[in-house]
Amino acid sequence: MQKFYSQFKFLIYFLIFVFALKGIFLVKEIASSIGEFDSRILFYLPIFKVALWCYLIFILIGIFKIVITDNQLGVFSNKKIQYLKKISKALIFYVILTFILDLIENWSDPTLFIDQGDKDLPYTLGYVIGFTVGKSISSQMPMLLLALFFSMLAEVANNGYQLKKENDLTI
Amino acid sequence: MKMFGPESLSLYLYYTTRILMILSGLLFLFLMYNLFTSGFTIYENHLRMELPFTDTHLEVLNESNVPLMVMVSFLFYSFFFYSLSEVFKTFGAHKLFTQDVQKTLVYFAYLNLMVPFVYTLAHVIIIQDWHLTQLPYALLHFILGIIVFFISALLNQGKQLQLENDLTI
Repeated sequence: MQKFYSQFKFLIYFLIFVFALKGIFLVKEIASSIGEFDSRILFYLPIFKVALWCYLIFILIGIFKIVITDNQLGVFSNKKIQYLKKISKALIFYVILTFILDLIENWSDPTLFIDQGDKDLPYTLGYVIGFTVGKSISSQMPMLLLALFFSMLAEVANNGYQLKKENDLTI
Repeated sequence: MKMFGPESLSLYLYYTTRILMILSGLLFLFLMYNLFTSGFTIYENHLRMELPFTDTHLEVLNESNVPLMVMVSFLFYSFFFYSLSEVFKTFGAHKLFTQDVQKTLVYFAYLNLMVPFVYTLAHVIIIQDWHLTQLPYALLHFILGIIVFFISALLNQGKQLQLENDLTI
């Protein structure tokens, strides 16, 4: 288990590095596209995206903290359960916020409302709503699954903690 | 709502993932049948297949083995959802810390850990292109695999505690 945790620590380091790098590229992208936006919402959208990206790095640091507390407090500890619960909630919060931003971005796509002439695709308001909501949800599904598994991890740790308490009391 | 045990969230997730498994499997069979029997029309560089009993159709890009890659993805996701549904099924049992739960979790973890490598290989062999556009999603599968390994490691510790507890009683 100890070996597994130390390997996991390296993965977290790597992920923090990758996400930080992606954040820098995102900032660069915004800096180069200033003045190109014709709507105020589309101007602020990338800034919110960078903020969300920082939030994700903050969550990753939280996961790193769990790995550290695991070495100090043992496998089943109350502090670790609290951390895991916080991380699953933070991930769900991240998913909701990103979904809203994606929804605004997809809705602002001007090609959706252009008259498509003789093409047989139904470019009506119903189609546009379905398309934008579907596109925004589908991109968030993997992260939602991760959040679900984090909350499962918290629940398993909680069950183990209760069992450990019971065991200690019996002895 | 309870996460584990009978009448819990796991039970509903089990049914949901089973439905998703059936849908992915059906889409795989549908694509395979249409590709082998040429049951499609070509529309602006896309293969268009009419979905039966609906007024809609499925379009796949008709470029360098993309339909084959889509077919492989549907097959993979039907396996993925089957494995996930088995995990939720074992989570729905009365006891959480058992060998069965750990075994299904380890299988699921291996399946997810394999994804980036299988995706890269499949992309290079089938599409013959190094532009791995879906690699971030494949890496998310890898992270999921590690988290599942974590859960299985915790379950292993819990199993030992349970055994110790049962022996003490």
